[in-house]
Amino acid sequence: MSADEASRQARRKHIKQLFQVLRETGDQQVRDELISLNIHLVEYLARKFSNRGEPLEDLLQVGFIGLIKAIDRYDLDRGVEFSTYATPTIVGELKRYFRDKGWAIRVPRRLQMRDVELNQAIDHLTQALHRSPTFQEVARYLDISLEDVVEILESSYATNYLSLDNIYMNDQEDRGFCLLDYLGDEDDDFSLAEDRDTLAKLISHLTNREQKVIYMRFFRGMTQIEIARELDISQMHVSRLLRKILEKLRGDIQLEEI
Amino acid sequence: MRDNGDVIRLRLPADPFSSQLVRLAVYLVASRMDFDLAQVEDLRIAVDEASSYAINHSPTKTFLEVEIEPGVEYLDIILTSKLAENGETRSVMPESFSRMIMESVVDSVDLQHGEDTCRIYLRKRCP
Repeated sequence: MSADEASRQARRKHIKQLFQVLRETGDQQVRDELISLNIHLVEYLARKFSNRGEPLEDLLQVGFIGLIKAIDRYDLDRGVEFSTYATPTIVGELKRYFRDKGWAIRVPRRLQMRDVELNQAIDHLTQALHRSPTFQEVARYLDISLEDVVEILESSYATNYLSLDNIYMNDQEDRGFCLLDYLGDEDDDFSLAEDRDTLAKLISHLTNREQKVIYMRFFRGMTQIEIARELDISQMHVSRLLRKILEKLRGDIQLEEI
Repeated sequence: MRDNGDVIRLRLPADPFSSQLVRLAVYLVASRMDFDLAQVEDLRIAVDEASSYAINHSPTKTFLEVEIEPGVEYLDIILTSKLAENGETRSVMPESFSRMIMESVVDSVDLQHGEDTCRIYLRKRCP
């Protein structure tokens, strides 16, 4: 056995012993020691995300939250090495950070934080009231002014949804889905036939899932809440998706001059 | 603020930044009329589409005029802009598709091209 391997084994054994002590005593100093012993893991994983425009310091902080969660949840009896267990937890925390904080433009941290609170408030009120809340209800719930709600909502549209294709969709029906299939050649309800070619070009720039959102909202007349339920995402997320898609359509048009 | 005949009038440069100002104004008016968030989001989509349509059909260095009328039964929003000569547009989003988007989210849409003006009338029933 090489010296390196012996050192690694000794380290693993030490970490196991510390977890054993932590389980028996709940000693916070032991917990702190476990954090210190695994800092390198956080640094290693955070650096993998450091080329995505976020400061490394912020990523390290997020990674440490993941590490602490992993330490608190780790179960020795599973027989898995701690580093094996902790890695997906830390990576998950970092990915969530990018998902939740992926801002297209720099928005003040105050508004970013408020945006998270606002989304939670809207979700909570929507469930409690069984309908979309009014601005007043949201303002009262968060104890902020109506203007603040408007400001936060408007700034929240600066979020970057490059991960648009990754919206969670559990069903299989979008496989092979194409909005053009739903644009009838001569549909009495829509006077779209003459514009079909133009629309075809526009819509070809959208992903299948973007097409699906557009189809649900504008062709099937589903409300944002209904779409949110079907896609298992929040109403605010649907709202932002719609905005992004419509902007994309208009942007595509101007750029490409079809 | 909905039954005393007030009309909010805005006159803005016909450029994309103005869409944001129109949207904010509609946001604030609608939020004080007890529209719920989903309805206000619908209004936002309609106003975005309407202002984008109007601006893209207007010549540069012209103005977009907006009237927001909060009534007892309806909130009316009227956008008027100069129409570029020969109907030139910086957008080729089909009119029918723009119209369909707006009709999906408000109760009534009237899109008129006059001799040299474009007028879009949006009506949303009050809650």
